[in-house]
Order: sequence, then C-alpha cells, then structure tokens
Amino acid sequence: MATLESTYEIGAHPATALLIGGVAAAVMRGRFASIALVLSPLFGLLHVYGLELGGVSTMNLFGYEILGVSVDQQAKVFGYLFHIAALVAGIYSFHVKDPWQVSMALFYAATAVGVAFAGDMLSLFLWWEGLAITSVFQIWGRKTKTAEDSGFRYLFFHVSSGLLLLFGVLLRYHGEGVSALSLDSLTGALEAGDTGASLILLAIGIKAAFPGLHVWLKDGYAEATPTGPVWLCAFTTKCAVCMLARLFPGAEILITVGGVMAMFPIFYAVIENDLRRVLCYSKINQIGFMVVGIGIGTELAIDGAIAHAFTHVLYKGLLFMSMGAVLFRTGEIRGSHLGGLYKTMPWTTGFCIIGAASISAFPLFSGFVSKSIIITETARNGHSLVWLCLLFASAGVFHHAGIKIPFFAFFAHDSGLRPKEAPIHMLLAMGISSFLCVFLGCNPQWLYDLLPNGAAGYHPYDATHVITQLEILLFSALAFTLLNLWGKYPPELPSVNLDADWVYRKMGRGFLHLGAFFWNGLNDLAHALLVAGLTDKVCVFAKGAQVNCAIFVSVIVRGLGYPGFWGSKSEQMMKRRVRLGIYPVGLTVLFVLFLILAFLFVSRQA
Amino acid sequence: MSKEFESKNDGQVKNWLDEPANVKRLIRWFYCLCGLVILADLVFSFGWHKHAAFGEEESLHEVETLPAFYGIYGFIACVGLVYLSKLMRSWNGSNILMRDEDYWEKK
Repeated sequence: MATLESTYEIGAHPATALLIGGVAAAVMRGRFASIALVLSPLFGLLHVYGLELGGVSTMNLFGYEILGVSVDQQAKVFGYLFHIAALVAGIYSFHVKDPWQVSMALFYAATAVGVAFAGDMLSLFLWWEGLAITSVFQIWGRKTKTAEDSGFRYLFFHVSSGLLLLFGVLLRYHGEGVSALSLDSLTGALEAGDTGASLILLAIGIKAAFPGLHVWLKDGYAEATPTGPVWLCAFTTKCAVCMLARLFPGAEILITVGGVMAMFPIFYAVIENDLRRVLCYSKINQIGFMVVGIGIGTELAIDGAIAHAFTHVLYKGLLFMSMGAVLFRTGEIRGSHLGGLYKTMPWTTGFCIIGAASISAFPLFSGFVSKSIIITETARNGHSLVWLCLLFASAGVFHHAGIKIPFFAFFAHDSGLRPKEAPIHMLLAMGISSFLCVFLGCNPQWLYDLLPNGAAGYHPYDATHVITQLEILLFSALAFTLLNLWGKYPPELPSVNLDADWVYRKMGRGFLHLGAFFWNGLNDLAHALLVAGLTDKVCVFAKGAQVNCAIFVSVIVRGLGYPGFWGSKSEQMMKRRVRLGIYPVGLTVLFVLFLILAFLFVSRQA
Repeated sequence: MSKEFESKNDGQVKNWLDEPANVKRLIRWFYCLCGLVILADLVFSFGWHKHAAFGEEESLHEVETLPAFYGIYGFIACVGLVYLSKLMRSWNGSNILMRDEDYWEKK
C-alpha cells in the first residue's frame, strides 16, 4: 500500500449503511425488510463514492490503536464492487421472507466492505471472522439436513482460516512488534521463509479456494438456497483476492498456484452434473487467473487481477442468478434432469447467454477486457508454461461455463419441464447485471479509470487480440459441436465426483469412528468394571456380611445352649430378611455397637 | 421456416429450434464463421503486422505467431479436455472419480 501524503479522519465507517440495513432487516418483516435489502446498498454506494483517498478511522481497544479504515483506490474499487453486488443480489432476493437470510446477507456484504477498507491486521481479522459467520446462513437457509451438514463443513474451513490468520499475525507481532500489524506487502517476508507470513497466506488461501483447500466452495454453494450463491459468489473469494493483492503482490508461488487453479477445475466441470457446481468449478478457474495476475506482480498485472475480480463478480453473479431462477422455478438443478427450458424461460436464457459470453471473454463482453490483461502480462513477463495453461483454461471455461451451462439447462434434450418465466425482480436483477457486463465490455475505460494504476498503456481492442480470442473461442465451440454430433461428448449422468473432499470427509469419518471406538469402548469398559462388576461385588459382600453375621449370631446363641431361644421358625424368618436386606440400618448399627462393646470388654479382660 | 406453423403436436407450438433442418442450418452458419475468422487471421499474419504476445527472444515466439495457432490450440485443448474428463469418470469400465448420487448419504 502506497503511503499517503495527507490523512483525515472519516465520519462513518463505509459499511455503516449495510450494517444499519442488516439491523433493519432483522427487526422488520415482509416488504419492509426487502426494501432495506435494496436501499442500504444504494446509500452505501453513495457513501463510498463520497470517500476521499487518504481517509482513516482509528479506535482504541484494550490499549491498542486499531486502524479500522484506510481509504485507498483499491479499497474504493472493492467498495463499489461489493455495494453493486449487494444491490443486484438484494433485488434478486426481494421475495425472500426468512429474516435470518435477509439480515445476514446484508451483514455479510458489510463485513466484505469492512475487509476491503480494513486498515490493519486486527481490524482485518475481526471482519474476516465476520465473513465466515454471516455467510453460512445463505447455506443453512435451505433448511435441509444436507444443507445443514454442508454449512457446518463450510464453517469449519472458514473459522480455521480466521484462526490461521490470527495465529500468523500474532507470530509476526511477537517477532517484530507493532509494524507487523500494518497491511504492507508480505511478499519479502514470505520469500524469506517467515512462518507468520506463510500462515497468513494459508489463511487467505482457504478463502481464495487454493487447490486442495477449495472443497468448501463447491460443497457449500451447491447446497445453498436458490438466492444464496448470488451473495456467496460476490464476497468471500473477492475479499481473499483483495487481500492477496495487498499482502502478496509479486509472490512467485502464486503464479504456480494460480496456474493449477485455472487448470484442474475445468476437468471436473466437464463431468459435473449439478449445474451450480459446474459454476463453482469455473469460479475457482477464474480466481486462478486473478491469482496468476497477483503473482506476476507488475502494476498492470495487479490492475488486471482487480479488474477481473470486478467483472467476475458481475458475470458470475449473473450466471448464478440464472441457475438460481431455474432452481427456483423447477426445483431441479441437475443437468441430467433439465433441458428445453428456453421455450418458457426465454429471458432467463438470454441473460444466461450474456453471462456465458462474458465469462468466456468474448469481445464486447466484460470478461474480455479484464482477462486479456492478465494473459498478455503473463506472456510479456515470459511465463510461457503458465501462458499455455491460461490459454487452455480460457478455452476450457468457454467449453464448460460458456456452452455447457446454457446448453444443458435451456436447450439439449427436452426435459418436458415447462416452468414459468422467472419472477420480475429476478429478471430485473439479471437485466442490471447483463447491462453492466455489456457496458463494461464495450467501455472498458470506465473500469480502467477505477483501478489503482488505471491499467496504464493497455488497449484491449486491437485487431490481433480480437481475432486470436475469437479464434480460440470459436474453435472450442467447434470441438464441442463436433463431439456432440458424433456422440462423443460425455452425457450428463446423475452422479457425484470425488474431489479433495474425499480426503477430508473420509478423514473426518475416520476420526469420528476412531473417537466413537475409543470413547464408547472406554464407556463399555467402565460399565463392565464398575457398574456391572464392582457394584455387584460390593452388594454381594455387604449382603453376605449381614447373612454371615446372622448365622454367626444364631450359631453362638445355639452354642451357648439355648437351642429353643428363638425357635426355628423365627430363625428362618430372620435369615430370609437378612438375605433380602430388609433389616433397617439401625439394626446393623446395633450389631456393630454390640461388636464394639464385646471388643472393648475382651480387650479390658486382656 | 414455413413448417414451423404447420407442425403442431398436442396443441403445442413447435419452436424454430425444434426443427432439425434449422439446427443444421445454424451449425452450417457456425462453420462459416469459423472459416471467416481463420481467413482473417491468415490475412493478418501475411498481409499486415500481427503483433506477438511474446518477445522475439522467448521460445514460444515462433509457435505463437504461426497463423491459426490459437484456433488449433483451442480445438486440441477442448478435445483433450473432454477425453481426459471421460477418463476421470471411468477408465476401463471401472469408476475412477464418479460415484452414485447418494454416495455421501450412505453410511
């Protein structure tokens, strides 16, 4: 972060409008809550627009000075982005009546804004944990057992991320004191092998869905409510990208990680049946592009990554909205059970195709003006292998997100489903996103002007770019067409595919079984030893003592020469009573008393 | 196009895309578009200056500036992608990564 010449104290926190909206949505019901959902992002957007660079907000907590807000250009871009995303998602979720979902969605957006504007590590950590907790309600809102379980798995990853971040920050604070709390670049520390910096990278990596740490994304988003992923896809991973761009610009390792992220999900996406999960995989693939851009670390590449995050939120939100509308209307999202919906949902189909064209980076659509910066910078800095990977990934993303999603949902074989067109507020939200996708695609200067370095010296629309991009896309489509005509394309099958989640979930179950074996075994053993064994023995012993005592007394009495003293009948009764243990305690005490007296007497005699 | 309004089954209007001939026509237009883009690339490669992504000293410079490189790469990438993904599903008749839908619900 560049040091700013002059700073001034800002009035209200940039997330204030969203936070107030969240509270309002929590206490109000029905239409009023929905109106809060739409109004608060609008006010927030105005607020962010009015913030001037260099604004700060400090507060004292437990003797620490926390820099709650620090306004720079990057924070402002993400501030705009999160408010626009919240506005669109808010309009889209206008019908949602569940106050938990509605208010938590606004709090979730507010925490994302908080992360973007965070001025130091401590405020970052607080907002970071807020992100985890507020977002999970979009999954739990589905109110099924699967969604509940999935939500807990989601929370497990995100709370771990927060704890790792805190651990990393504390390690660094321990090492170098207060300077460790600033949000300056940690790339140098990371490459010098600093443990704290590695932990912070890992924490951000979980949220950014690094390979192997990505399963929460495809697991959670696919189980969320129809409106859930529209919120989820906008904030969590983009906060991670924002923080990567702040803390690790130019870290070599990110180029490799990003290359892998761009590559592996497309294979999964081709065989995945759940269409929202296909979108999750393509989301990981797109974040891969951003991570590569941050890894290259030149000013233009970072600008490219931020621009791509911006456009990505818009078109990925649009795609998730169109799939959400399909799920909302048909209750079905499996590609194998959909098809032919264009007949009754023409508008949704059209918006979905605009989203598909944007994610595939067709010229004149938003993906083109941001993705091409990253690919060009990769080539210019001589990363030829990664460049080939990214090119492959561009072809692949068109193949699975650009063609497969609209094709299997709206065309392909006729499923016989004839749902109604999506409700008007959903169409409106999709329309706004579509407009922004095309507008930014046609007028990239509007986007570039927002970027920290203004994407200086970059022109997306020159003949070579346009022709080569069209070529790669059309020939990917050609491959899809020919393979489909020849019947070689893998059909959509009702199935799940094993991913890295196999390791976690098997490990989790193994841990559960091991725990059950150990603790239940311990319980059984304790039962056998104590309850069944020892108690029984004590009972037998205690009862036996009484019985033997009674026999002893009667033998003595008889031995003293009074065989008829009690009579055989009363003797029998006494023995039975003793065996059943129905003599009161007092009697036993009496015997003990006699015994002690006898003992005293005998000892006295001696 | 004229058949569109004639053929009705069970009172349902047939859409333009339901007609196989129209789909074929669409695909033919698409082939033409592919040819057109390749033509534009060739014209640019030989006629005008097509600027390269890589500098002259990079190893990929030679390959990347070949005419129609992007088209060929995109086509091969997608065919490879599909065949590899099919292998990920099942190989030699045995499932690799694909499982029943209720795999995680089963105990």
